[in-house]
Amino acid sequence: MSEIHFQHVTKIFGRKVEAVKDLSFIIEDGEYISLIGPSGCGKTTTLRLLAGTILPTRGRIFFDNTAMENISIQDRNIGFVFQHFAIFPHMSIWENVAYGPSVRGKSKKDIEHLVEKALKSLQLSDKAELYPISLSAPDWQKTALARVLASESRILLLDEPLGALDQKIREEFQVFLRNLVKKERLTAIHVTHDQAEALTISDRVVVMNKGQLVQIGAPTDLIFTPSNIFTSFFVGESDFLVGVVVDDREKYSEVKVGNNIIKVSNMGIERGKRVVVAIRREFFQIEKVSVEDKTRQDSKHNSLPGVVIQEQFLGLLKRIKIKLENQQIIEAKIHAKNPIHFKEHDNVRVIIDPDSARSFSYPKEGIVSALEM
Amino acid sequence: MVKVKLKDVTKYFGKDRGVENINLSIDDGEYLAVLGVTGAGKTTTLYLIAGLLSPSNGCILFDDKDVTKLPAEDRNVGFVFEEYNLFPRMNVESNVLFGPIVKALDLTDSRQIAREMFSLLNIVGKEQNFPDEISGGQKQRVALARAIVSNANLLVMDDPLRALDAKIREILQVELRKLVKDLGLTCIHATHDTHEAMRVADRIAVFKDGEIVQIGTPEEVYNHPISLYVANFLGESSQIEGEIVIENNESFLKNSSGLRLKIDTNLKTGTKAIALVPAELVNVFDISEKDKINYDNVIDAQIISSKCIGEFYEIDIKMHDLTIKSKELIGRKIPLKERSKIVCGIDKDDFRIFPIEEEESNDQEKTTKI
Ligand SMILES: Nc1ncnc2c1ncn2[C@@H]1O[C@H](COP(=O)(O)OP(=O)(O)OP(=O)(O)O)[C@@H](O)[C@H]1O
Ligand SMILES: [Mg+2]
Repeated sequence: MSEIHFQHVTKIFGRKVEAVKDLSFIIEDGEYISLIGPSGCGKTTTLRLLAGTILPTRGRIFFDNTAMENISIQDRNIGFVFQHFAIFPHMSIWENVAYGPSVRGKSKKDIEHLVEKALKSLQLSDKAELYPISLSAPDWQKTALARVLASESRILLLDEPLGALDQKIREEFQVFLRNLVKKERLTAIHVTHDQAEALTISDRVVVMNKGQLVQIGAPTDLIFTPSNIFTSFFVGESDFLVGVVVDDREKYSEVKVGNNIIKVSNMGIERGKRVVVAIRREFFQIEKVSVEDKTRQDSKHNSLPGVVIQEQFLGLLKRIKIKLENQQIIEAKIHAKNPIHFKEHDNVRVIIDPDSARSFSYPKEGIVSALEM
Repeated sequence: MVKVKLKDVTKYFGKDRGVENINLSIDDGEYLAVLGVTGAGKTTTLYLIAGLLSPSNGCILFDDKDVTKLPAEDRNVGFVFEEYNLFPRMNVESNVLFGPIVKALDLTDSRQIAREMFSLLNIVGKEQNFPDEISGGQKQRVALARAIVSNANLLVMDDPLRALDAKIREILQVELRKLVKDLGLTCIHATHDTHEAMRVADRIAVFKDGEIVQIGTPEEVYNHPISLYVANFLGESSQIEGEIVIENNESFLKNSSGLRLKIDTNLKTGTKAIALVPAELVNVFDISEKDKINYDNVIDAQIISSKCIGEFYEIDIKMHDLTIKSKELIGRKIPLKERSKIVCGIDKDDFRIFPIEEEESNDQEKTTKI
């Protein structure tokens, strides 16, 4: 058992750098968690706090119900794998993997048993006698993982572990890694810059910004039902419309944006309140309209009128920049093969799918500050 | 601003080949991306240009002047390499101003540029920190600032945005290109990431096993990959093997399971060939839309599995006896459930056709099995 509990953990470096701010969350036993967030947001610091290489300035960390502040790094039962492999170049793979159990003073027989089991698990048995120099990058990472298993660690910390691998190998390794963690019943916390990796590999994803936890949820929740403006902004790409709630029914609210009213997901914000409606750029649907249609109130569609500024090709996607009536510029991502071409000055309707339009209270500090990384 | 030319450049490390016979001209102010897997020769090439390695053979010219024997410090190249970390005993600011200090330049200008770089790269407030007091991605951004502030006219960067998250990376790709163009620098940027290469570069050079296998604009490389290797490297794709048949002046590829695809090719009837289609060009529709869609090929198929990876669904499709990969934007309403009946639309010019005989069998991409 190794449930991890962060309780109001803050880490301040020097006098003022709050690398981690009032972090509270629970990681369940056997869970695979990813940590994502902008560079400098405190991911590595969070891992270091768990590992015990630094201590919280405030707050506490528990493993099961044991407080960690007086438990040394060695006794925390934690294994690490980083991008820059901490394996010993002058030792064979076997010796590298045996290092942990030998330091712990295990008997020769126990060491052999542990090492062999770990090597087998990582499919490294036939490479046991080789030295790191003759191995490929994926095998280095496997050696590091074998070392974690042989040390009988229950918690695995990974900081950008696949960062040095090429894309295709990286994708195969993601599947391998997840299977390994599940088979060995480890609890894994994995920091990555690659959002697709986080979404593929984990049970839940933690989004951090400026030292704080922004959202924790299943991969698809972050994409389809972000709970705040920052997640909508950081995970994928969204546009933000500002409006006022004019009506709320069961499932949907009506929001007045400029002179138009659109239906969006009802997220419990009261009538009369200012809201920010976040919509992912893939969810806008764009249709051309004639000049006559343009002035007519569009009751059939849940839409906003706009004028095309630019159509741009970007590899797999077309991006259509559109100016709405309130002068705000939004961008729709559509398939590169979409046969309709949009030209500058084209009148369009921007159709909004109410289920994927999320509404959040207008942030006190303003939208720009709320999105600061 | 400088024109760079590599003539028959070869580098061996003992018996191991680093690169062989590289011929490459980079224009004044050009932004070149260098793409390839680990070990393809990207870093070696960049080292040779920066003067951190000297070639076993061949020569390197900057503006028609032979610099092959010139040491790195006299080449005026700003570089970002993983192995050339920040100086651990200097704070961030001294690291960034290192070049101008060594060159005894007037620091007023350099300080100004440094300040602009700090704010552009979002590392304001870290000037007095030491390298081990900033995050991984911040280190990389400081290294980038150092290269730009060095007052070089050639920028050589080995995966300079690797340690950054997608959001910041995308912003910096755009900013970096703009900066390079505004300052009139010539720039060589190695990356593993096809999309990054397409976004930043004027031209892309694809490396494989120490050689350049293709060089061209992003559109040329993407739309007309020269070999199966390049096509596969550029992204997720599917391959269909068959035989070319020409009927009524139209070309088809027929495979053994009876699939008959309209394709664009100059190959003759009877030629054995592989048709490769990038996943993003395989369009998925509900079966009910079969008569409404307009593609050169409209093929009945079935969903095997689908998975959401951010802005795309990755979908495996069963088409006759083949498994075909598709990538669809998540905004579209399409069937995703296992075994759903669908139709796929693929245009004929979206297949990249490669005759089988000419393709070396070992060219079929060696994937390291995990
Ligand atoms: N020893 C230290 N002294 C002062 N500040 C520090 C120290 N270590 C980290 N920081 C600061 O704390 C913040 C969080 O750093 P951390 O390394 O946790 O970020 P990260 O999320 O891992 O970023 P990246 O994705 O770039 O690796 C950063 O602003 C960093 O500059
Ligand atoms: Mg980090």
